[in-house]
Amino acid sequence: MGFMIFVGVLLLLVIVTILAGIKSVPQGYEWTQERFGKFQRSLKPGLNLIIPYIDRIGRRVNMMEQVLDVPSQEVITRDNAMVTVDGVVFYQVLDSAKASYEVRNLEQAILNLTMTNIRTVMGSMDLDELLSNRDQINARLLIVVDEATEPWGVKVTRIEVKDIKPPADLVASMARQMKAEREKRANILDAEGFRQAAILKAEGEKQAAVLSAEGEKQAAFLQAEARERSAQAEAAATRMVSDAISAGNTQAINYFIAQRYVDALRDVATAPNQKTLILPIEATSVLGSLQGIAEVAKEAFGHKG
Amino acid sequence: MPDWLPTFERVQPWHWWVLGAILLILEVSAPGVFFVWLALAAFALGLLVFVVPILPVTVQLLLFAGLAVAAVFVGRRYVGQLALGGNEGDSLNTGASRLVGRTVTVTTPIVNGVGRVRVGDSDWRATGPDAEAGRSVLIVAADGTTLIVREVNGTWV
Repeated sequence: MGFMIFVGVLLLLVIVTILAGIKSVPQGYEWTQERFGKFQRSLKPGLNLIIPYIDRIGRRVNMMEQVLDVPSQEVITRDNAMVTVDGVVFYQVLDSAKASYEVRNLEQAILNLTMTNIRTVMGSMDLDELLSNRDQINARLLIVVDEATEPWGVKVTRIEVKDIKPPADLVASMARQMKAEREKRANILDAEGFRQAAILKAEGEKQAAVLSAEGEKQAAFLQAEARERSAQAEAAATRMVSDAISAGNTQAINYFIAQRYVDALRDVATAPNQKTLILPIEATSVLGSLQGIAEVAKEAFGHKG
Repeated sequence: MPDWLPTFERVQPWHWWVLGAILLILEVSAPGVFFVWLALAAFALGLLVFVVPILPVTVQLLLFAGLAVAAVFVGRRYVGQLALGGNEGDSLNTGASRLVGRTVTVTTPIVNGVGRVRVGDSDWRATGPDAEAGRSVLIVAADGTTLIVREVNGTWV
């Protein structure tokens, strides 16, 4: 029975020993192995054997990339604006031993380092620069923090400033400034538009005036030409008439005139105005013209006879 | 006391096998690779008891302890062989050594053997021959968070 108890205890010891000696590390982690408290090696993911009772697991280090939220803090810029800033830090442990033993509280260390450096970088900039140069801020922060965390076996891959919040009254005046800026632009554009419109209108009027003058000039030219032509025609007609007269007899002219004269008399007689009474100026001249007709007739008949 | 329970006088082979099965179930439900070795030892011992039924219970228990330790070492070798064949986990969490072989651009000039290079969208500390900013360098090795680079001859960016 005593032997049985011994065997039972021995079995228990073996089981405990196996439990202490076999370590399976999950992927994404590295565990540090300490021999009598001194760092021995890093256990990689997978099945690992350590010597029970003298080796111990020290720290379980996460080797994945991790995100740290940088809490909001108030920063005073170079031009004395108070802004509230928060951000994120992405970091990855590349050397589990250094991350375990070179620094006591890694997350807190990185966080504090980042926060103080955000202050440093932003304190050296004006508010306008701050709001427009985030890339530059991120790059500067990254270089400083990464250099500082290098002895801890940590790679800071990214630092991003998330939110830059100026105080509300400052935001309001920024909005006002922007509105004023836009209104100014709008007014300038309006004025430009009016100016251009006026110029165009004047140009149009000038062109219209020029065109109408040109038109008048051409019309005058054409009218003069027309007058000239009609004068020429009249001259030609007169010449033809006088030629005809010189070739023929004066009585022929008299005939024409008498005809017109009689026509005129008829017109006067049939005029609606009853009070008008025109007597021929020279009745004899009318008769004279009649005589002319007779002579023409006579001549014609005589010529025939 | 029912007669199918194991006693200090007599333990049947199938008792060991049942124990092995229970240990395997525990292994699945509990984290860590631990119970599987004991289960292997239990199965092996069950086979042994099946072949040599006259073993006393105390000897059986001692054998169980011994077999458990043996199973750990044999199993580790076997698991090691398993890990050799196409293990995709080896490319994960390899730190900076995954960057070896990439050609990158110097951002902060390398002076006295220390500078910074741009890898992807991040900035790494680099050691190597002095080079001015904008120069292309080749990553040949990684030491913790520092990349060891050498110049790519005659390449300008």
